[in-house]
Amino acid sequence: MNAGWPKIGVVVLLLVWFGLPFVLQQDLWPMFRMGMFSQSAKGPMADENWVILHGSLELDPTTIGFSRGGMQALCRKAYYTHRAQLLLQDLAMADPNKGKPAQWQLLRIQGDSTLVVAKYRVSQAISRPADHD
Amino acid sequence: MTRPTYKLGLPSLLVCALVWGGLLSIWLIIGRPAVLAWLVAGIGADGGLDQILIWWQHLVLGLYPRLPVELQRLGPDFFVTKADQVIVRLGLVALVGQQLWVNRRLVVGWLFAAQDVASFYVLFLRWAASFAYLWFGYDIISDLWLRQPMADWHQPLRLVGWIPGLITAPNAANMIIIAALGILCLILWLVWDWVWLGRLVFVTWMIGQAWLYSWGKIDHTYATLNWLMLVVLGTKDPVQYLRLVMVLIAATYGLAGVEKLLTTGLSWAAEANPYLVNHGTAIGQALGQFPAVFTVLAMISLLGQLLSPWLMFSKRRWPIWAVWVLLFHAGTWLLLGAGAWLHPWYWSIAVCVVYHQLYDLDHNMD
Repeated sequence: MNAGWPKIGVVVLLLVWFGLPFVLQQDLWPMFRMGMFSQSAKGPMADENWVILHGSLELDPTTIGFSRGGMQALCRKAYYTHRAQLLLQDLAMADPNKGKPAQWQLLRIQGDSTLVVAKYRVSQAISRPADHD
Repeated sequence: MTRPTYKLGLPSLLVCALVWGGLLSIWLIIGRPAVLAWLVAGIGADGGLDQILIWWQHLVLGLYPRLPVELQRLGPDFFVTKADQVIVRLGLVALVGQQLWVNRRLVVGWLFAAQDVASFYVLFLRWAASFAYLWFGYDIISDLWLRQPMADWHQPLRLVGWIPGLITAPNAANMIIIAALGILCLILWLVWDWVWLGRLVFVTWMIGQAWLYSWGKIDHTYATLNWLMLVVLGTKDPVQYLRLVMVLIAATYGLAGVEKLLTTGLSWAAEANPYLVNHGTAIGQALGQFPAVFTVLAMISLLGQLLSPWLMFSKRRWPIWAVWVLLFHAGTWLLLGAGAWLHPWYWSIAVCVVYHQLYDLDHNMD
């Protein structure tokens, strides 16, 4: 019986669609690796957390269109590529309450230690470095 | 004409095993030490990652653009373990591929078994997809609108980031055009039932997501809904492809479970509690004070994911799966802040309901 090459092609395509990100352990959008929360929560740096303070209040990332996880990834990237100042400046621009005279801070919290990575005041202007990432 | 039966395909299975064994040996003897040295050089020497094997560098950094950042955080051992996993997973995919190939007649015959067109269910799926498009499309565009000042952090996606319109961050004009085009085509598609209009709606749906995930983090928020949208918006008679959609949804849930086992192992559920303590919502952090409770919840989550393919296709068991899906996504939203109260993955339940209404399953599926 002829199984039909277009239909076999669909099955092969699906194997690649699911198999490639599975093997590479990497999301290759629109192909997804279904690895959400699969890493051990006791693994290295799993307790690394990021907080953005606007004045004394913690920024709710959903007010500027990001999920909590999305903002955590952005903070991590900013820290490890030395662009925390630029991040705070852009957040100040994106904030719906922009213009209020308050200080922005990026905090890196790991275990019991808290590091103030960067500070930014709304009146402060910085030059924008090229994206090194 | 005989009905195809399941075959193991021993000769091709042995060939696969031999090839994989050879690959594993080469990796352990030559590849692993070389990759470890490369990763250590990347951390230890200035510009180490820039100096060794340019082609290899391009290949790896093309696939893992976050490697230089993550290497600083997690160290070379973490990534060598990931590389080990590549070899193990290649073997698993080869095994699945070999079984699918040997049994292709059986697989294709089952997957694409024709069904009578049931206009009520087609209509139901169309309205469900239209509602999902408008509801979640609004969410996507709202988020993108708010992100406009964050254009410095836009990072085009790897596979589709070269497409004009996806290279740079979306601006107000782009968003308005795509949203208006999508809504207009959706209305005309519902009125005229012209399949190319539906496909255009699907393209706008995917463009919205491509924009959304171009800020360095790809979420799985719409992973299963995309399959439903593809079939409902992209085909004249989505009912014919419902079994395919069910397989895709089952594979998505199942793989999420397999990933946990391969990445962390059986101890995953027992080790999951720090997620709540470190990254949970207020409710999640409160529950994090009771590790045993969360371990049980995590075990139920893992079991539900692994058993999804077994539960979904059974006329008797699928309601258990539906309840699990509801509780699982409500739980991850309440405790970890992932997803939303109306989670896009709930649409999988609608697919399952329609599927079990329309498909007369063999009793041996139970």
